[in-house]
Amino acid sequence: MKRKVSDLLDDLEVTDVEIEYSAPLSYRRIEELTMSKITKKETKHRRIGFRVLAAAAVIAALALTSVAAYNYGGWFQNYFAAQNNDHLSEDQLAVLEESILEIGQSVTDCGYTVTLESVVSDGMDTYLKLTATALDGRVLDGKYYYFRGIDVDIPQKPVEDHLVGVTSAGWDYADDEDTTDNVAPMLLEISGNNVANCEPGAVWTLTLGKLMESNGTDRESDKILAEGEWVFAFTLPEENAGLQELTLLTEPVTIQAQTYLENSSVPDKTVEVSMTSLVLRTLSATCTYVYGEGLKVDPVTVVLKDGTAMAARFSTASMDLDTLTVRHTFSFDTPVPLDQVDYVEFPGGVKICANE
Amino acid sequence: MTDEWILRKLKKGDPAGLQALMERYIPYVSAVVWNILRSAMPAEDAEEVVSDVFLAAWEQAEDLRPGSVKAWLGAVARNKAKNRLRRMGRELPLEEDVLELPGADSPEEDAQRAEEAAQVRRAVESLPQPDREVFLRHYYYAQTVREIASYMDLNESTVKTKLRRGRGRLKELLTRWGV
Repeated sequence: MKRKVSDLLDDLEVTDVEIEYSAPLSYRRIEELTMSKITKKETKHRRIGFRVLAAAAVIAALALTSVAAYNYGGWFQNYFAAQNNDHLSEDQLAVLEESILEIGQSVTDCGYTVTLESVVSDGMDTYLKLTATALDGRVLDGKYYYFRGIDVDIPQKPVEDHLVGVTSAGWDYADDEDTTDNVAPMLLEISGNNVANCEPGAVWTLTLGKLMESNGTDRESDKILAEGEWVFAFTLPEENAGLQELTLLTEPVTIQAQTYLENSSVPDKTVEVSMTSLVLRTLSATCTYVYGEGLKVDPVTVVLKDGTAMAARFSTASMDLDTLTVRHTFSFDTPVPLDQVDYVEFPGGVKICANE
Repeated sequence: MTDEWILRKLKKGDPAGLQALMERYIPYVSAVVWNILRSAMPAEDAEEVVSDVFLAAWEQAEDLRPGSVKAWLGAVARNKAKNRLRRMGRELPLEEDVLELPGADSPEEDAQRAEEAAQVRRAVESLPQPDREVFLRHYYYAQTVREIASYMDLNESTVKTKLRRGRGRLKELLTRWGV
């Protein structure tokens, strides 16, 4: 009988032939495609993605140095102000000042000292300010620096087994005030898993793998500066102002939303949706509504008592197959002073007042 | 970060493991998939196939073993790409890809398939170097004769000779072993 040589090799696992890598494919797109597929499947399969590490044991094995606390608040003030035409209100500055957790932990590995300077979190969305210092004095000259291989373990509040969430993390541009020294600032933004806040008082761990230098063009040409392990642990105290929440719904309300056809970014039609919960935090908001085919609720706008409107952007979504409800989390670019919220407005005009 | 670390994360269902797996192996998996599909589809479609390979690793993490992660990914990538090509009614443009072997059709039962796979593996391993590398580059990784000649600094006629010799050896051994 006739058999194809190439088919005969189907079950072979080749280990000793190194081939050349020259495929003109976008690695970034492949990563995005894959992560989006697992997020969808996570929801479908109801897997539980929460992890709790025995952080103390991990940390004990590493050369971890705590340093005196510095005032990192100014850096975060500048960062958030830059998201809003260089302006933060007095109320926002007050929230930020009470929320910033100064960490000041340094870990040295592979010729670089990485310092976790400070953290701002609302329990769902979190910003971590870090610096990398080249011990050989090499100038880190204002290119874009970040880590590949991030592992964040965030102990979550207990949730029902059928709820599923995936935590994601990404690096934002961090302004380098001195591009002639051997220090590079970095900002890591973690989007919460959409299902539960972190457990106040529990230990978070952050593990960083490869320190990368990018010229900002394409990821494939980014250079590995060092491949090591930098591990940090810290606790968000229960009294941290960033962890406050404002629950806005006591009974379901009907809002308007859009439906989308598969693979289309253009709205198909407007429908009415029953929203069953809405929780505001200092950096994010989460709403829950009844599932509908192709349904997507657009981001909310928070309006403060002085009339300031703060628009949110979409962050994450997940579906609860047991109750056929969808949870959407939105993120704000600047801190929300919860005690100043007048109402939340949904596209279509439905307003939910803070004092109801 | 080691393969062991990646596998621990994957088996716990931790997306960080998948992210790390992709960072390490995307270039390799992309090369395997693209070699097979480059004449049949645009890069964007091939990216979907590469993504499916990593999705398979996520879903079948229990099948992955330290030390053979890359080989596993390569085999899955190759089979997914070949299946896609087959569904499009296309074939790999390979040199004399057909062998005339005595015996019945391809095995359908798992045990027979495993037996045949083991014998094919033994036959391929019996090829001397560099013939084995030339053979695998062409029939496993779908590199063209010209590419192999360039990568291995050989004449194209030499590559063809080695492929012919490899096919002959494979046929001889499989016939002897009764595949």
